[in-house]
Amino acid sequence: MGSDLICVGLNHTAAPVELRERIVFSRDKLGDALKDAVSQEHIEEAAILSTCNRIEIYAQGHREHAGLALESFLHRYHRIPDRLLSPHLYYFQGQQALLQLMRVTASLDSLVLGEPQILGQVKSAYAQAREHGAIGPALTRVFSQAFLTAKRVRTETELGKNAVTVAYAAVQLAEKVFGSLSGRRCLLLGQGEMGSLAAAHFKQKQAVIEPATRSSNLIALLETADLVVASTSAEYFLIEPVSLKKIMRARRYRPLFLIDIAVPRNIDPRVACLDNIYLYNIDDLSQVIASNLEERQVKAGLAEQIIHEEIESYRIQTVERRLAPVIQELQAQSLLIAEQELSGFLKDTQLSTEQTRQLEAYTRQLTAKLFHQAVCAVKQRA
Amino acid sequence: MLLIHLLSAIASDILLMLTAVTSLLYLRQDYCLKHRKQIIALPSIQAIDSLGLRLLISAFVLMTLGILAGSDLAYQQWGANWYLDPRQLWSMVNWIVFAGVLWARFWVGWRGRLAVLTTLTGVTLMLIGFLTLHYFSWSRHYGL
Repeated sequence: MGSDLICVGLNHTAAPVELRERIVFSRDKLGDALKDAVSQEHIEEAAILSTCNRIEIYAQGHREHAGLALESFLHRYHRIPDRLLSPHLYYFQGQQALLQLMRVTASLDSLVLGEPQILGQVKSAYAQAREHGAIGPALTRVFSQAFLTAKRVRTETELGKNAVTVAYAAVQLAEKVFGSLSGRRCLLLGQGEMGSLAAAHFKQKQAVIEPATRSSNLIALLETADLVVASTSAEYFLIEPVSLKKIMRARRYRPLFLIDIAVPRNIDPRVACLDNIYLYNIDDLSQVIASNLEERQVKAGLAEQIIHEEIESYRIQTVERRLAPVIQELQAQSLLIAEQELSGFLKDTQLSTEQTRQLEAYTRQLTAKLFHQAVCAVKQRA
Repeated sequence: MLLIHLLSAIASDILLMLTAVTSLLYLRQDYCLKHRKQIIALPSIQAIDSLGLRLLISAFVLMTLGILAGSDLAYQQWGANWYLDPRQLWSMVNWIVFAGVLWARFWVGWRGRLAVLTTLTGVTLMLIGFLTLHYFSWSRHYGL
């Protein structure tokens, strides 16, 4: 008795990367680690979530001893002394552990709030544990509830919808101009790290990347491009309003989307006043990101509400599941008693067959109604 | 002929109103993108522009059909294709404005704000005519 859900682990806020990298579970060794974990005394089921920002073990085990068992498993498995690891570990039990799993799965505990990868990582952790036979009915129920909750959070709050990185913000803005970016020509000016990253994001969306060199004819390239990412170290403007006005005429005013990530800037800010030109510099993108992050914070509040609703619903399900066998037994017994009392009564009374049948039906109905009311009262109390 | 004249004129007016709605959406999206406002959930600016153009072309074709049918009807009813009737004159002004907008879009390459603003001007002219011309008592369209 006394089995409960336990979570032991650490994340980016609890431990530095030097420690996290020492206790990462590599994918190829995860199977052995899971077998090792469930072979511990007091541990019945276990799943290991290991990402670059968190290492957490979710287990079903003895309420009092499972936490310590998991902690000593981590020390032993990774050969790290207690004094180094223990101060950084957190420990949750029961509803708190469920809350942690739900918050992690819904990306409320992530380094970047609302990032979408974590759901896939938790699903993979669950699938691995299942594959290696480390998971049973208890953790299956818990993880299913966490996935359901994450789905609700994603659809009802759209938490991860707006971009919170410079490169992704640039892609989202470009999509607001062109719709699909497939086949769009993206001119890359300079080899800056951020510029290359933005270009890589555009490439992911099937845009055609055209890196410009010093000898390239910029005017000719601008006439055919749809997107421009500028991140050169030039200390003067490469694109100016007068030349761009002429280029726009040659382009027949097709929209041009410009991202200027360079400091000092490569594109004269006055070009933003021209029609069909959409210019964003690094500060504009940062502003978009800051506003999106603020929006995510608001949505996170709604997500927390959803999580609490789901925890309550899970608690009710658990209580009902625990009470179900007792209720069934009590119901069977009460029906038996009613039948016995009725047959005793019928022995001493002369009734027709129809009257007997009606009395039997009435007794069954009365017992069921009384019993139903009692069960409802018990459930409410529980 | 009367039916063609009426139906094409009404359909053209409805399509022009829809063009005006897409133009306003375009201006809203353009403003949001240019002023780094929170981007509202609208289709891309190019999609709105292309929808607006398609609506305008359809409206223009119907408007042309309506004018031609009306001219034929005038010949049957009154003996001449063309009168200095306020509604006929106004229709021709509208037709010339929209023909100009379409010419500029296809041959000069107008897009975006300029194209949208001229389209909105044309629709406003059309609306003024639609709301006021039936009050002119000397018009052959008086009360219509």
